[in-house]
Amino acid sequence: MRREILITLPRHDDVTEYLSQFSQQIEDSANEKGIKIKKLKDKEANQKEFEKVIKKLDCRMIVFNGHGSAEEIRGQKEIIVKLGVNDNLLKERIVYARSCHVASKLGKECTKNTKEGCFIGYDRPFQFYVDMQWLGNPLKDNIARLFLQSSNLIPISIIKGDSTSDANENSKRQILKNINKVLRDLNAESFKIAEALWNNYEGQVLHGNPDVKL
Amino acid sequence: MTEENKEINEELKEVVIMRIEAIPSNLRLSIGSEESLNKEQMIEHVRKGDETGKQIINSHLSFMKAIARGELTKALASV
Repeated sequence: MRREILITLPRHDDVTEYLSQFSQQIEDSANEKGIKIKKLKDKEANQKEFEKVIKKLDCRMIVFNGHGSAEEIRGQKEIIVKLGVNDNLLKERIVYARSCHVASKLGKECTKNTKEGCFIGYDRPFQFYVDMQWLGNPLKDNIARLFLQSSNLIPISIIKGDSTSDANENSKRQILKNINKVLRDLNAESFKIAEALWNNYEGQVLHGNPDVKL
Repeated sequence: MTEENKEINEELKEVVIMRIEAIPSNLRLSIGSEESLNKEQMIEHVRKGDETGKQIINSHLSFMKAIARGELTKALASV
């Protein structure tokens, strides 16, 4: 297996546009560390392309952005990984899925009896708020940043050499710091933003080996 | 479902809707497998009690429980 990263970057609605644009930080971090990162952008984020690339490059780490459910991860609208169909491609790898519910079943199943595999994701919907005035320029959206920068810390910490367990904890600590910040600057939206951050804090889980590194 | 439970659920919905109404109109929520929702759409889902509405209510309940049990305070004090 190669010490490389595969990342999916679908952009078919405002949610995936935000996820993909904020993923630039992950790419920058990999570049800084000299770790190759293969991007499956837009229409390339499909099952056929994913299977072809992961078999060819055999990347140690995969980052998924996109919608999901307990048994599947989506790319550009279509399913990219499905439990019982091609989830075996995730086995023994380090996987982070920024998708709703995926850790509750698929993430758990693909790390059963694993030695070197680890899956970090969410066992409930991954939530984030966006400020509509920045829909055309997501990286300037400081509300979305509270959610997406803290989740970026999972792959970024792993890229920097942390274990998967430390990466998970770093991200969770940042979520709590962001809740503190939001509740300190108390305004009309503070309660709902803190609630959504707490949802991600509670729902972010790790399956498999917590001690593996990239 | 008993009449009492039904009433509690309706009361809960109203509490969640009041919270949503308090947020500014420029905010949208990403939850589930669809595009982000404005506050009118969030309220509609809660009123309908569909899957997205249930997720919004569950999120509210989890947060309230964390506050009531002191879990949130404890977690926030750790950072």
